Amino acid sequence: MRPDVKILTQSFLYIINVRITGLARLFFALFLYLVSIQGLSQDTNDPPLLKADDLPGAKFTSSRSFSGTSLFGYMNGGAELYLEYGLSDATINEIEYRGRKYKTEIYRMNGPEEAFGIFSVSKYRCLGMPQVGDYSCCTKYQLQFCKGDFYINIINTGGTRADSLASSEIGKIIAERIKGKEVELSGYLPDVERDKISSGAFLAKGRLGIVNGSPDLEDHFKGIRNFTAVVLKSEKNLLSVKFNDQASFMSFLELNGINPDLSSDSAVVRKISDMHLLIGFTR
Amino acid sequence: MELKDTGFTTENYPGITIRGTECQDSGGSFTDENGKLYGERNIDKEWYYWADVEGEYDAETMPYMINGGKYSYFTKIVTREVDKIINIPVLKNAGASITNAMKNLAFGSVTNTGRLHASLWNETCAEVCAFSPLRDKVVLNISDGLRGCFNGGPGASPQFICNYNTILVSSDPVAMDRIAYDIVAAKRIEEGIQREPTPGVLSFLSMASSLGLGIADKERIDLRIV
Repeated sequence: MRPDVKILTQSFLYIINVRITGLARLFFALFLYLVSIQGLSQDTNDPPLLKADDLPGAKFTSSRSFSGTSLFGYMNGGAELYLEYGLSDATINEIEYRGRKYKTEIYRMNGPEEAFGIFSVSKYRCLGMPQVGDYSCCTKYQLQFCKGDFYINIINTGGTRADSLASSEIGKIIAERIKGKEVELSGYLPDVERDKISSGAFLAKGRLGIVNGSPDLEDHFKGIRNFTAVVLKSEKNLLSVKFNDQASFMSFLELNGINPDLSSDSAVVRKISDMHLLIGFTR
Repeated sequence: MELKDTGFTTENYPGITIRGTECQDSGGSFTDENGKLYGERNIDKEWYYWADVEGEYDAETMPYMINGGKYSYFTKIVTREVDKIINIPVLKNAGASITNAMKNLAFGSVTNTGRLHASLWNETCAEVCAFSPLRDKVVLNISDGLRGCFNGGPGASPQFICNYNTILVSSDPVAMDRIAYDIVAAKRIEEGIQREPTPGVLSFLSMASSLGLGIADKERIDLRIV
């Protein structure tokens, strides 16, 4: 039990002993205990921020928070992509650690799909996929990962091995604090190994995601909304697209010359479920 | 970021007035003692770009937008305070298109831009630049392509930043953007982001050209490489 919950419960039990007798005391204590647990278990809603004693000797030089559209104040038009996926809030910290500078960007998205989505279109030419978070990508200057509802970006300015190690250390501390379900992608790409998804798939929920993930698919989604698309680019290219409403689904079929019986001249189309298609295509 | 956060301070540039439309006081507040945005003092309500798209922002976002609604007001900096404008954008992609001279001028000169990004990006880039405070005052465009980005733009994601090692200079922002597009598209193709140029994304340049703001036809552009 977390120490602060224990203290609160003891305080309440002390008050109860003085004022209430008998069985009523037991039920009342139990009720208050459950309320206190509920009230103090909000840390899953807090961003997984670093604390001063996480990194001995570190200086936290700057901290800024943004929620929803106020992200425009941090990255101007770059915010559109995050808002398209669905952003709850973002916390940006700058840290000096062991004489070097790091920036942590912690984006809380609206769900694990959204977090994986923004991660998947942001990663590029990963030098490695360290064991931090659910999916990760590291380069000389950056460590990115997603876990639960969160997308995390840790940027260093030196590009050295020491910077990578420190970024990994910072990332693991942050990842430990994130509770939440891993994104479930097997429903989009059945029979595809997780490693292939990790290295080659991206998820989009709108035009900007498609344009950032695979610009050559933009025309296939012109004017189309209310969808989630997972694209795997490999020797066999797969597009798995699920729609939220019938109108969007039919518009997509019409735009791409796919007959309602799912025949097409230019692609192999399979129905995963109502309004959810798996399409094999050549580039 | 504020201008001071990127090195534009009076200490670094003595004798030069450094101003932005959205601004904070020394304590970091966007509002004065009466709760009014400092930015509101910097907008000129006699000059506006009206579009039938409603801007609705929460209190946290409003300091960066200045106002909501269907009006985007020009900043007094361009309407009243300066006689000439030298436009200095940074060379970046915006999806498969670019954000360079036209975007920098248009979105940098008016308020309430959040509503314009998603649905009226091309129209805004062209039409706002047709207003006389911009059309008649912009005398030179210098695109900083020493470092830019080829994907993820206009955000500045480190993994997509590159050295274009190029500076573009032109009195014609439309022509400059047409050439800038080729540079960014070539880099995107080289990096495997896209397979071929897609000049169809440059509708804002066609619009701008039809408004008499410059030349979008590459065949008519006099390009000199120095």
